[in-house]
Amino acid sequence: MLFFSFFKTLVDQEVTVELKNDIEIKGVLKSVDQFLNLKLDNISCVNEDKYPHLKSIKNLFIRGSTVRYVHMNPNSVDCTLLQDASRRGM
Amino acid sequence: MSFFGFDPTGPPQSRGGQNEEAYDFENTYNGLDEADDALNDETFGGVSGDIGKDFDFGGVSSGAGAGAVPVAAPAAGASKSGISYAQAASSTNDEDFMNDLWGTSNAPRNEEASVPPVVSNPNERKVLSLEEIEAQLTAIDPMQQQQQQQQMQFHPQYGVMPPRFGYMMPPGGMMAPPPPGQFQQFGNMPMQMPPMGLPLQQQQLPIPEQQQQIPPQGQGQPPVSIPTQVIKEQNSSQARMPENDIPSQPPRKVDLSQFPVLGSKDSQHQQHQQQHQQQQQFQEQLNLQSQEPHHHEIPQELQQQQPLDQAPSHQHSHHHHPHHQQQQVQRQHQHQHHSFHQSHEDLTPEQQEKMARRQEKVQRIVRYSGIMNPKDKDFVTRFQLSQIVTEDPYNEDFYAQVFKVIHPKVGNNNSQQQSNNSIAQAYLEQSGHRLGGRNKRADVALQRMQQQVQKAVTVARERSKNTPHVKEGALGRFTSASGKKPRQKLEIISRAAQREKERAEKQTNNEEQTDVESSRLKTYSRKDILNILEDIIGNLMNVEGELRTQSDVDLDKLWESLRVLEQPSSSGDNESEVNPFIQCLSFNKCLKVLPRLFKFLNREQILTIVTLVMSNLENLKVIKDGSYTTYNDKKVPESITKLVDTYSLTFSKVLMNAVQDFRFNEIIGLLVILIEHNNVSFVSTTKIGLNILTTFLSRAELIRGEGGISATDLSEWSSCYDELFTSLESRIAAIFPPNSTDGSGEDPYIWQFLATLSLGGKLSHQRIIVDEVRDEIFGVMNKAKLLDVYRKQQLLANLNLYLVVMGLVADENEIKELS
Repeated sequence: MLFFSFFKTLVDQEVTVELKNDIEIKGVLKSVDQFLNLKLDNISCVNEDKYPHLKSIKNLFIRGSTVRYVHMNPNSVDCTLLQDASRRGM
Repeated sequence: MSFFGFDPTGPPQSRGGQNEEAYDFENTYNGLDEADDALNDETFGGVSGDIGKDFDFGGVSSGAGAGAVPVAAPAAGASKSGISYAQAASSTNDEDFMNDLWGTSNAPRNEEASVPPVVSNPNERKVLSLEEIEAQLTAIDPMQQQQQQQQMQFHPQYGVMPPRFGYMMPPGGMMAPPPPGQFQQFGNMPMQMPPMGLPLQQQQLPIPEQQQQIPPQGQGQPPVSIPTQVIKEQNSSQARMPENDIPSQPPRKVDLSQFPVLGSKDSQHQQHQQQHQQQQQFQEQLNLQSQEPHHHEIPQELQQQQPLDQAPSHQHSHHHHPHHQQQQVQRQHQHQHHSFHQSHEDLTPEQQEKMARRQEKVQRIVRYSGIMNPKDKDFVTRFQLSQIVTEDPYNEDFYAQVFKVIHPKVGNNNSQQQSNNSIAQAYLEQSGHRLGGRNKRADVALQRMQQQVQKAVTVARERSKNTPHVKEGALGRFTSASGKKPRQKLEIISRAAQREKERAEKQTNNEEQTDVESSRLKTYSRKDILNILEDIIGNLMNVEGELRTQSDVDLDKLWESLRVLEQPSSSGDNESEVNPFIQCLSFNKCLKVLPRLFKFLNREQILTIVTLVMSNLENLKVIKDGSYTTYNDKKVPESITKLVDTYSLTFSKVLMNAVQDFRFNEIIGLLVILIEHNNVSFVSTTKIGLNILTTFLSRAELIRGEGGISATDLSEWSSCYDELFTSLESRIAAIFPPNSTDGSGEDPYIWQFLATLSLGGKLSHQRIIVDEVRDEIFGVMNKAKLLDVYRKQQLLANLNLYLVVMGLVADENEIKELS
């Protein structure tokens, strides 16, 4: 539940989701569930010339298992708290 | 079912295996004329080749409307060929099939099976704005009674549902009463606000044809409103018979048997005739009720819809209706068109365009909104909640909970009501459920969610107690891992178990040595230290956690876990035998919690720790490995410099704060301990060592400057200083690391140290210091000449930190007296 809890704090912030098929999508995180499925709004594809079919899409739902990385603003992460939280999980 | 053109009703002997001769493929194939594949459209839903990735599940937008075709097609098909396959199917298999599927008795089916697919009033399908819906909602209650009476009369109609929705919904779910508040959002129910004078007007309504009231399906309105109507009716019917809650009630299941696909053209027609009387009455009423208010209250809506939707609506009707209805539909269209034509023309083109756009938008939004009925939504929500809700939300959701407290969002002002419905609130917030952005609506959703959360919490509690692996929340295939408890890749034994294990091992290994061991000092492995460190952090977190709920916290356990007093040691001891706390100080994570840790220690405890550190300075990694002198290339490796940086950010600051509270004699004592247990000249070649010395010296100078120090303290201080100076004398130049020649932002710490050292000393001390560092001073000045302005200033500023103490100031060319 740690990551679920963590991503909840990122709701309404801009993140860049890198998928396992190399598509990178930047957008505002709208919601996340316990499977780390993500809902993004206002998306834009970072490597858009490679994947032009995403040009017309404004929001999307990403199955959590297809996500490779989620890049976020370091300022939105409280590292100390995160360390504490991960200790709690032990 | 005969998908491929086999005639299931054909003579049995043709299939009965009497002809065992081999079939020629071509022969058999010839029998299946491809021309007959026209019926594939009915079987598979229209233009099967066109179904791409953009398949329209809503079945509204495209004229092909693939999803809707199968239901409506049979009648058309029947008119073409002698025996419709759909007909054949319905006459043979489907009854049993439906029986199996829904487990219902189809007894009443024969009468009701062919109810025309369209019953709902055309005007019901209007899309209302939120305001209108709300206005109507407020009007519901007084009208409810009247409504119920109507329902009583036309009971057979309850179950009649439009085909496209009928086949999407489970029988139970269809009729199940929606929880209050949910059907609200569908609340386009003009029939609920009938003008009181209705019955009179009814007679005057022009009815061009018998079946005119059968609404033109897809009048341009999205189909959503159809289920709403049904739901609406259910709701009112439920008001009458509250025991209808149980979804598996027989009368409801009957509804499913009314799939239009089962009905042939004839029977449908017949049915129409039979039901005509009832329908006419019923729908006229609805017509009137809904049309009247529309004209008066929201004429705009109608105006904009009517003309715009004309074209698409014809297409829709094609697909959704048996053929024979189409003409009537069209006729009605014309009729309605005429009636609204006038008002439509009043609008300017811009207005029309605007409305068109708006209408399109509304359609897009509402297009799929009927796909899940309230019950379905509740079902899904409950599953999602049951996956999320846990016994201990604070612990499981620690990060988010605390994060919210630490970083409160600006503008989050409605927090007073959050206490009791925080989970529901959080769920709504974070799952993106924003219902119209209206507080009222959100509140309704919130209340419902709250109830669900309560249910889910109780279920979660019970479940976790009973069996750990109940799989009834798993949609689809389940694994042993879940969203809540992902499968662990690493098996980590708990610390207690680990310790237990090690102890057991030690006992078996060292049984012969135990007598010797016990008298000697304890040794710590790296693992032990890490365990101790985790123990410290764990205790610290406990204390912090308790402090959130109560003000009085027992700090003894935390102090004990530090093990400061567990084992005495001093610099130069065997590495593994050094006091565990000192060993902990070599780890980054220990340093990072130091500021938090020291908050919970009292003065004596801090003094004890500092004393311990002073006597163990050379056991600290930053000192031991932090001196350039121990390396061949006279350069401290990067890993150590990183640790040093962390030290100056954490330890040095904590120490500086702690020293503020120390008394003069305590500082003297600490310095003495430092001098006794460590090689001062070695310590002084490290950054942290110099920092510590600077901290003590400057604090001592400050206290001395304040005055009020006893003569004995002063004499002790001067002897202490002398001792320190002696141990540094003739090695002062060595505090300059030789490789700082790169000149990049040279650290002022060395000059700071020299300044404080000079400040505390007498003139003779100062002279010695100047003598020793003269080369460095001129070195800096020479270097400054070669640098750009900014870095020159920086360098000279550092140098002047020291020179100012002696009343001097330097620029790049010369050293002058301070004016």
